[in-house]
Amino acid sequence: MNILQKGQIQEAAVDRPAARLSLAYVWVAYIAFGVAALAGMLQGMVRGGIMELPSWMNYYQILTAHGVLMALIFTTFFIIGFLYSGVAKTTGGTLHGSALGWGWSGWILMVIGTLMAGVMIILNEASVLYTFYAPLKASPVFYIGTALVVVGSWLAGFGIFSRYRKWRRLNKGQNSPLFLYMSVTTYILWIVATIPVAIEVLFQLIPWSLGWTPTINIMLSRTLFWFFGHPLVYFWLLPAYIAWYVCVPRVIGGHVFSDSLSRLAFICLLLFSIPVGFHHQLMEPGISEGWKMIHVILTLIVVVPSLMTAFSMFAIFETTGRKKGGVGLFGWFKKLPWTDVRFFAPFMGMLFFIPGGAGGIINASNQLNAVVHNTIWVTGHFHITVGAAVALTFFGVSFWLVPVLTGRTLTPTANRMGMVQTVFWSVGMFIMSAAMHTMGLEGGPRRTDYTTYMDHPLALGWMDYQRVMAFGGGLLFVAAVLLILILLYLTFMAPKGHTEYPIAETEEAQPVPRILERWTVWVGVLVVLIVLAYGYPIMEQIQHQAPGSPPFRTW
Amino acid sequence: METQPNTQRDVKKAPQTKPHQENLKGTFAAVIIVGLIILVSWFGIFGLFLDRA
Repeated sequence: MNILQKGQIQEAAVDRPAARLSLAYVWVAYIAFGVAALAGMLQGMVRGGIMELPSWMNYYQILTAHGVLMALIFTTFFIIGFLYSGVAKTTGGTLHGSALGWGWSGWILMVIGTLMAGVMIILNEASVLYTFYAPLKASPVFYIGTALVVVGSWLAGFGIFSRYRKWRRLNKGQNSPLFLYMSVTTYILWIVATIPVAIEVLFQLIPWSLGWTPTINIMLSRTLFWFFGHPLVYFWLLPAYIAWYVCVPRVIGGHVFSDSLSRLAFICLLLFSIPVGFHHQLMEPGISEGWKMIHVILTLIVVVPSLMTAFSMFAIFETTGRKKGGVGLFGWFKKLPWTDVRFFAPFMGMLFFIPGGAGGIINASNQLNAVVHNTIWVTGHFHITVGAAVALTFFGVSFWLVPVLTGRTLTPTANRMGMVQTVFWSVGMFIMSAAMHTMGLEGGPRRTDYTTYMDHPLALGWMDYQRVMAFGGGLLFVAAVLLILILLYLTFMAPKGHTEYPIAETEEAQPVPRILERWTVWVGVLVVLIVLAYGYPIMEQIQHQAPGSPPFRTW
Repeated sequence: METQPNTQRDVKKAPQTKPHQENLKGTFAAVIIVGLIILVSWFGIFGLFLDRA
């Protein structure tokens, strides 16, 4: 038997087959990250008016490359690699045959899909940005590639579910390890969220791009996209939360604050991150105000599990800091391991998430959305959420995960370089996103090439912000290169040795309500919420659709 | 409600469950600060909306 019984977690390591699979996902993620970082830096320079692209390349092409590779490919591959490693670690240090089979099948399909989509972007046949909104039309190969990425990610999810089922069979009547529980929650969210976008791609975009259908229902395609697009944000966030709830406490020498609270926060995030997509469509016609209001209310409920997470993190830091001798209201803060990159990088991510969360509430509020909608404020917002909170956490995880998977050690020099990398990324992101937020409030649009709008005074007022954005982008590129170099070192050159996979536990046995692990209940509640929030509006969009649109190629 | 011990620990070795006695004043203050940041940001942009409306 290769599945852990209770109390054995600390002794287990991640074995070679599981490590190879996780590493394969993590490295594809970082190859995509490197290309995306280059595209992002070029984009910043062009938008800042500092350079011009050669004639064979256009701004929207590199914008698409940056968005698709960073937001869709880097994140998804890294998340799957991280979850597989943690699931293996907490269930005996290994993965059984079918979990490995699902994992590799998913990886192969996702790599093929990524290559298909990537080649189309390079050939300038898919400059439709990462949201691929119709009526902009890409080559069918791009859509088929993205569909393969999604289907591949489902296969990988079946591997995690298979491991979970096996653990439950062998540990009847017990609650699963926290990491495993959170991985399953994350994957339920991902599979439910990707069904509508798969429907959009398979039944709307692919037939339309092949010319089989002359027009497309724009409203429906955008609704299906945002049905997926908002939980996509939580698919990025939940693995970062797993690192915050389960790994960071161990790194700082502390404990999980509350097992039940952690699980409840994940259930709330699962329930309230999906039936909320209309808050991305507040300025669109075709959806009545009442339905938008329902989605806004459900969106704002996400504040509850978010603040539960903030509370848990501060509580973990305070209890650990006080045990190390911290006194006074905030004296415990000084006792945290500030020179350990495994803590420092995710902590910086948490810090960015405070204004990120505040910005999210602003975006989701109807009147306030009117101020920021389609401005570069929104770009600034998702750069401090996914680009900082999530990315910095993933970097912090990578600094210990890669050595764990390669059987090497995070040396003091690599740790110091990681600290420098974190500072560069944080400063670059702060400068760039602060300029984006401010410029957005002054009306600067997102998703536009460099232009002075025929020297209009309002547009000329944005130019300085754009140059600041380019400077921040330059720092981010330096940090990205540094990160790749550190990860290459940790993969191939660092000294061989043991690196701990940090999994924290609660300080003392805590009762956990059994209902938190009854998935039929939570998936049932989720389906009811989705039907209530989306059922009627989608039916209306199909029954009373506006005239469809033919495809457009604007580049 | 039916409850279960945490599976990540060897329950036999674990001490009996007792209420947390930790000092969490700093946590309370920090969460209040986060809440204030959210409120100030929200009302700031709402003010901008009213100003432009």
